[in-house]
Amino acid sequence: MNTVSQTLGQAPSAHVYKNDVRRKLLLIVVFFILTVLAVITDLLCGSGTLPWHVALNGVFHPDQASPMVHVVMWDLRMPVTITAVLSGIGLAIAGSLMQTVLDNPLAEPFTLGISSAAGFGAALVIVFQTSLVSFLPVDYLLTANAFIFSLVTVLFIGIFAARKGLSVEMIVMLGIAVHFIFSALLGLAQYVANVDQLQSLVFWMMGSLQKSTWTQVGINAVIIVLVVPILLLLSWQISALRGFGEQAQVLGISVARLRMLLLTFSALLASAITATIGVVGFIGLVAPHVARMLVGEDQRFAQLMTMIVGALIMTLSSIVSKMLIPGVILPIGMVTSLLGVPFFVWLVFGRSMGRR
Amino acid sequence: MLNVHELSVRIGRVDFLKPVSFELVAGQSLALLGRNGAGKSTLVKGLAGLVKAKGDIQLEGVSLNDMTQKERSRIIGYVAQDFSSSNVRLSVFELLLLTQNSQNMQLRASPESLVLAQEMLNMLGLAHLSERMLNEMSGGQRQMVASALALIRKPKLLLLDEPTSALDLANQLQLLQTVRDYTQEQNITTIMVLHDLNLAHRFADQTMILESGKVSAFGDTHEVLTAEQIANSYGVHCEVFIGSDGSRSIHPLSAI
Repeated sequence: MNTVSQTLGQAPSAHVYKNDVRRKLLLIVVFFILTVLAVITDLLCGSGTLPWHVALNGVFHPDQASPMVHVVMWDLRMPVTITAVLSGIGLAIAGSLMQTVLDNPLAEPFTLGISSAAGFGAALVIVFQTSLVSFLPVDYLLTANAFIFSLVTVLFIGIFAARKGLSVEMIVMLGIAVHFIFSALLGLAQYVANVDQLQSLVFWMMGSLQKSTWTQVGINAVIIVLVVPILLLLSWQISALRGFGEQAQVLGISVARLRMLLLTFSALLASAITATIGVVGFIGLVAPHVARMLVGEDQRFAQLMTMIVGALIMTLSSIVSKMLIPGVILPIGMVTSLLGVPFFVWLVFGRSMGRR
Repeated sequence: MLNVHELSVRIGRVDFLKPVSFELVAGQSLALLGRNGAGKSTLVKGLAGLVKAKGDIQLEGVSLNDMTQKERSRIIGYVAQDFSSSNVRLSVFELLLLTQNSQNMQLRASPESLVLAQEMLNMLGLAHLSERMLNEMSGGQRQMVASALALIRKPKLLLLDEPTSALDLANQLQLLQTVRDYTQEQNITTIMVLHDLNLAHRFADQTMILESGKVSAFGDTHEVLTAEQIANSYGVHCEVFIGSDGSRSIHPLSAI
């Protein structure tokens, strides 16, 4: 073997690698700046006619703003924009984790039936006026019930699959079973619902940022702040799991334990966000792919980029949802799907042509 | 010294490996031979801790049973038979860093891992593949990378499951020579599953032949790989030629 000094003297591979790391960090900074610009634009856009400089002044100098501007910016627009950022981050990283756990590039946060479970949780409140947490204030019943149903569902899948060594096949099969059960129950709820209840339920299922409150912002922020640092610290292990699958055990990684942890984190994020804003698709599928195309598979960079791309797509979707039809704010879930479908088709075709 | 005592593997109701016991001196390589389904990969996976195994494995007097998977991973290097099917989009250099930093809780790769990665690329003649993605490489190139990933962790027990099955002739010789040199220089123990009896003759000090999960022959390679033993174990008539320098080669003649 060469001595260390000899190797350091002729280390072209290490040099190229360090340059590549710098390129990735630069890309992350660029996309972060783009996201900040999108966030500012989103804050300035609204269904009203507030001039941009008044809106901006209301954000940076709230004490000088009129009560009307203060209410519009801080009670209406700000929670919506921050929810867009948080839900983009959360759904994107939840999708990335699900793709890792299931070892499937087409997995997303709702693959294991979180959306139908959350939908049924919401339907219980909207249609049957019943809840697992009826002691909570009425305003929180729907959100809390949807959250509990979706989280418990995925944890149930994880715990049962763990009995069989937490294999991917077992997780997917249980997920499919759960998805069909809750879809059937949700269908039943829709069937017996009256017109108003059905409208409420369908609107909730479409996903919307408009009902965001500071309390929901706080809950989602706390979950993200608790989960994301742990995920970043586990970056090497997550990369190893993606790279080596079951054989990551040889590197001293407890594959079953890591899968269970990532599944729990994914469920926690997706459940909290779905309970807050309804079902918003495609972010969880698309953002991890875009991130991996930009910075590769190394999860130290891919996870950061996934979160930034998720926040960027969600914020852009929020802007489009307000701008597409003047005076009307479209459900965000509809917009992300419309933006996401062309990319999804390209992804599938690109894959079949062997370009991935 | 590797000391394996009554190691067995049972999955469901099937005994994939019946109790196997053997000793191997440090600095030596063992070739694990046998027909398909004889239990070679199961034995290697049992040693690596990838399947639940009964029995005791002691390496340099320390029982692996008393170790956690993390502790075991520090002393065992393993190359899987099916590694070449991995489709991950990581460069060879990134993979070499990943295997060294997998327990690292810091975002930055350790400086030593950068140096070692470069050394390993040079040692196996893989420097030209450093930036290539694993999913853009041939099966043989991936197999060379897989061996580099096992060697870079400086294992005390190196387990290679069919490391040469996809390699061209030159790379077969280069890889096995590197493994043999490494085994002797670092005084480690190496066990490799092989199908080529001539490679076993050339690169393995000891040979074990498995049949239906049981050891049918074990000992010095030149004592085990006789025409009679090969006929018994493989059902193939062959001739064993001994060269003037004492080297041996096996010529298969016909199936029995």
